Amino acid sequence: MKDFADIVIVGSGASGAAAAWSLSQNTSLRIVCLEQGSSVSRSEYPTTSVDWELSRYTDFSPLPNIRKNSADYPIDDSDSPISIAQFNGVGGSTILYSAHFPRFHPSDFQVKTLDGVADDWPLSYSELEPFFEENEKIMGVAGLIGDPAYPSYKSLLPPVPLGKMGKIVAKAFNELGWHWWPSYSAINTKKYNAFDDPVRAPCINLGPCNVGCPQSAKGSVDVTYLPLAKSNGVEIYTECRVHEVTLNSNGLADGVFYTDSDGEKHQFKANIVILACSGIGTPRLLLNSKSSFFPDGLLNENSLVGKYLTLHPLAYIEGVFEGDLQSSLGPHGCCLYSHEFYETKSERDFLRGYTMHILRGATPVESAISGYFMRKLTLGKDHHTQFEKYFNHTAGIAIIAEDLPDINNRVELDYNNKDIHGMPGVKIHYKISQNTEKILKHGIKMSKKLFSTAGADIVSSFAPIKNTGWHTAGTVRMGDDPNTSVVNKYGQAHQVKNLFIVDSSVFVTAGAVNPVATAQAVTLFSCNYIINNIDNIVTRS
Amino acid sequence: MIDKVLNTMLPGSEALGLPSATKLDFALYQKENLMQGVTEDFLSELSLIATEKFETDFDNLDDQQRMNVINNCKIKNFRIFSVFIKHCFRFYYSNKQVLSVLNVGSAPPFPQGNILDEDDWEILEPVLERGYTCRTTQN
Repeated sequence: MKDFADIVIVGSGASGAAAAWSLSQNTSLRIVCLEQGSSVSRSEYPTTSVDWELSRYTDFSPLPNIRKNSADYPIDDSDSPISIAQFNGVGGSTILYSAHFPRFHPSDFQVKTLDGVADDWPLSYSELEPFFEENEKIMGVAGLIGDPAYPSYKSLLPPVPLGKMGKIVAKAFNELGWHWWPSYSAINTKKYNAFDDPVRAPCINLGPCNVGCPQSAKGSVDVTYLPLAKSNGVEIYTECRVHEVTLNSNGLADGVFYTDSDGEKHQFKANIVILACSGIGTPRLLLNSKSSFFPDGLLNENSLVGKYLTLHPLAYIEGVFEGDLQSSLGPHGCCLYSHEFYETKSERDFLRGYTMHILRGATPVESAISGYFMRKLTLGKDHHTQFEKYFNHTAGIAIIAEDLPDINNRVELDYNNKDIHGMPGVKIHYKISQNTEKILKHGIKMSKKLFSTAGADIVSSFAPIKNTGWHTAGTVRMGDDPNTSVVNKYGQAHQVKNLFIVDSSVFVTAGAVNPVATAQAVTLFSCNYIINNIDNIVTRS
Repeated sequence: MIDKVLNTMLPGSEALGLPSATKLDFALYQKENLMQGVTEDFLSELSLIATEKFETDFDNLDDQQRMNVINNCKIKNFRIFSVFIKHCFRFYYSNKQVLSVLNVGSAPPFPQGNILDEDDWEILEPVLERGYTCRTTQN
């Protein structure tokens, strides 16, 4: 039957792809993945052309409201200091991510117990650990074993080189007696693939990972999980936007409605429905799936869907060094990081903490624009000599702050702005907490101290950064109590037992690190449960 | 007028081997990036300021006066100024001729990459000497 699958997965990004592969190990199942966007081939990536930087302002912009691809949907983030960034297409936002790939810490799962804030997760780091490891094997993660800030890693590819700038900053960390470590990076530092065929090429230090990697050295899921899933028989339907999850007369999920690229509406029946559409897209779909069982949106009987949105408010500090450090060479977002200020400490005026994420120097266009507006460059006859002393001399620090969940930070449907198929867009309401403002302030102060120790002039420091709302989470939170959460620890909906949410929507708290490694580990954990309990889940439906 | 504007903002540098922006194909960039309106708005603003400050056309001004007008535009109409200047930098610093002179490493299409020196991880000794810092949890 063409329109029936054992499992339908909505979304082919970081979590959808991981789910597709994980479940496809049971090859007796028909698994179909519906993706609202299309595939992007390596030859289409901007960095195959010399004017690649221009694409950041057009069709490869991280902002859907700028990019306006047919797969994008309207996001009104005018009531948020941070704009939502994402990519809709096969591979999802991993196509444009920088591949910084740290795990959450064990403490991130127990913030209530340890610090008396927010809620503990219903699962622990140790439960996720084998899935972290499995995920890192498939994504191909570089790093260095032995980091004292984490429980031990078992296997990693060689770390991404620090470069001249990284070494200078590392020495400054040492001088201050602060923790630092080479970045965990989903970047091949040697030829690698989890199952050897086909082998992906190593990184050649070009720099701009966040407009797509033409080498396929970056572990985006279109070159990691999805080829493996497809070889196991998973079918991926592109340009199919799911706009409703449907229920049968017993209130269990029985499939989805989607619209294809010609605007034709179809129903796809399934025994199990899995949503992996991001912290924004998943609540959007649930809220749009109204029925007699759930008149206010699927799983929204307690008005929790879309609530508790967390983003990572970022601060940015830029330093300029006297020497030419060729700092723009190498993976821009993967150099080194520090968790010196990650955990709550009584002597600080805030709870929880942040990552200091060292970024390599800006590209030529970015250097010119930021240098000019930061008053390091002028126009006219002196411009070129000033540019020569600026470009490749810079480093950035991103402070990644943990913003604790707040019920008022939320995603709602926006009936005034609809996508090309008539499905409502979303409206974001977000405020940064006072605690987080203190975190960002502290991060800026410490970054200035670091740059000063490293001998760099500080030319810029501000927070929050506007266009960096990549890390969306918390909008379909997990928990043991159906009154205060939407899904259980396995991502299984409390009220619809054959409906699973497997992306970062289920996070209880946001941590202060990039979320992809943890989101995918959670996905694999959920899928492991589904595989082990599939008969029970399907019988119920 | 646009040639004079570009040459004032981003003149060439013989010493560094960099071309003036006016020597590059700005018309093509404008067309491809649908920004004719942006340029027109900017030039109109410059003309107004030139007349206001110097009682003549922008084209009749000397280099210093032109720069004065451009800088004045930044104060008087920052929105128009900033949109144009960003395009100007995108145009100039994504040009093959310019990039070939700058120290950008391997440029697209990438025949080869860039080499970064290998690291000596003894640099991590001070971090390791501090011992295990991962926070203790209940499981």
